[in-house]
Amino acid sequence: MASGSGAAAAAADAEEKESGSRMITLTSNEGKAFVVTEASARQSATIRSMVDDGGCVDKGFPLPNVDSKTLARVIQYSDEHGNKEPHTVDERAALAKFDRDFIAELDADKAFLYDVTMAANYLHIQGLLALTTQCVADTIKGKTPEEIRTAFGIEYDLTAQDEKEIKEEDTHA
Amino acid sequence: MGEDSVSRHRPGSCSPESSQPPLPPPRSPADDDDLLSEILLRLPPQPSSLLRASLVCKRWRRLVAGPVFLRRFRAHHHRRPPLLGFFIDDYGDALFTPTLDPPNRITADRLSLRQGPGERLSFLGCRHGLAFLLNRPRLEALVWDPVTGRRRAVAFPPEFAINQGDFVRGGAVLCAAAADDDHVHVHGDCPFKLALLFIDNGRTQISVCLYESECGTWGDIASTALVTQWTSSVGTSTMVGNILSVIGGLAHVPDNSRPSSSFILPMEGSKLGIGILSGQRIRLWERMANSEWLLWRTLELEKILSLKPQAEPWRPVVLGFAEESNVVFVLTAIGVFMIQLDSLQFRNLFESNFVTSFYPYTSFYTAAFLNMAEGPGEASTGAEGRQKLEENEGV
Repeated sequence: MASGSGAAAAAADAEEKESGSRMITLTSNEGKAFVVTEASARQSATIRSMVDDGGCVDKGFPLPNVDSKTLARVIQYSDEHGNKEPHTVDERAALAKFDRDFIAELDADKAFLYDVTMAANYLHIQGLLALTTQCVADTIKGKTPEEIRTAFGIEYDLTAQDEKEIKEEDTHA
Repeated sequence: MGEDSVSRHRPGSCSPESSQPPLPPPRSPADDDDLLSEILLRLPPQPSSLLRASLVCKRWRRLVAGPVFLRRFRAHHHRRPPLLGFFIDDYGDALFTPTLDPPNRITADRLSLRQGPGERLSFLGCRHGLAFLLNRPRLEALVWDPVTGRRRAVAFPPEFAINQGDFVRGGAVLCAAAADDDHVHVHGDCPFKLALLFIDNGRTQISVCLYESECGTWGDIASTALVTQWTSSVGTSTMVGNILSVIGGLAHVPDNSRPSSSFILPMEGSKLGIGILSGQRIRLWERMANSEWLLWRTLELEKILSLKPQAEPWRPVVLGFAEESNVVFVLTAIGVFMIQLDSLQFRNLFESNFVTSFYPYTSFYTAAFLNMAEGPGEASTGAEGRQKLEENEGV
């Protein structure tokens, strides 16, 4: 990952015929530019479809819904999965370990986990979305409805009848 | 599974949402319906998962009750529904015993079926969320959905409708769409197929007749000589790949010791397997392409279950086999065990010395949510009683 250099993107354009070796600039909502390989950027189905549609590569892609901290973390994932293609059992194991460590770190900071999850959804990075949503699901698992509401700051809007059911349900927790 | 939604983002524009002002970003992934679906479909397939999610708030409730979500939920879990428990046939009443712990435990009352006046029901087995019973006095086969309570009766084919139906000795139900890999449907109201087995008075011949609910007719009857060496397993069936395999006779039993009970099991690559209990061990055999049997695994029950030597001699009995979760129920000297055949994890369910057939029942138990989704707008309360899960009553 390189950041803040529009020049790098311009230089890389020279070899644009080589698909995957071009450089692409992603800009966070704070205006910070991140230059990544096309292979890394193509982890995002959203960017992939725009690249394949042509035209945008020179100008780069502003991402108004993603802040710099989140984008940096998303790029860390995309670099690992986009720039390397695991062939051997060991390489696949190394990538799986990367995923485990990556998500364990996010799991420790729920607010950041949520930000990365939303960015993965916004950018359609399928692998990252699966990884982060599974992690969020695992935090819901085993919680009572009340605990889930607290965890996500959800307002209580069920009827008295619903409430009766909830009370019975909660006795099993 | 989420590859469907790229088109929302108008390829060609340089920012994913450049043609409209960016919406205020949601505070958490749960605020976005699409993202919430992605999260909730990754909850474990156990009954309490979606029930609890449905009790969080109206929006969550609406989301998990949607048929599209439920289809995705099943697809995500590879159509491997959890084993909820088993039925036994108690003189015609179908009594359910849950095997999951709270909060996933479903009450016995919720899924049990009491026979009505004039009925004499015989339980044959379950598959794809449906139970198959006979109602011999009426010469009918009965397909019952324990979750929704829906019953569909099918008259026996005329050739089988003799002698109060006493020669109808077994059968199987399956969902008609089960063989269709792409069709991850919501079991319940789907079309079904039946296989009905008939054994003649002299016990020399076994006949089978197939029924498809979509055309509402029985097909031709196929017959073969009955050559099994033991009779208690005749009529039990297992899905192996897309083929329904029925124990109707085994000319060449792989195990030449004296088997006490047996069950068909699906092996990897849709191969046919058979589990044979003999003495204190279960041997699992795989059918090879050349029709030879290959010994795949031997389970020494005393060792696996760490049973202490018993003062009295005893013989284990296979009570049932759950094909969708590869779990076998075995009666031992100290009670009933369920053993998962891949992991060999086991659980002592309860003390018993009573030999009876267990009919395992697996289901995503999401039909309850479909009931809830019926009716306009608000969740109906009609199904509420059906969603109750049971407090630990320590069966």
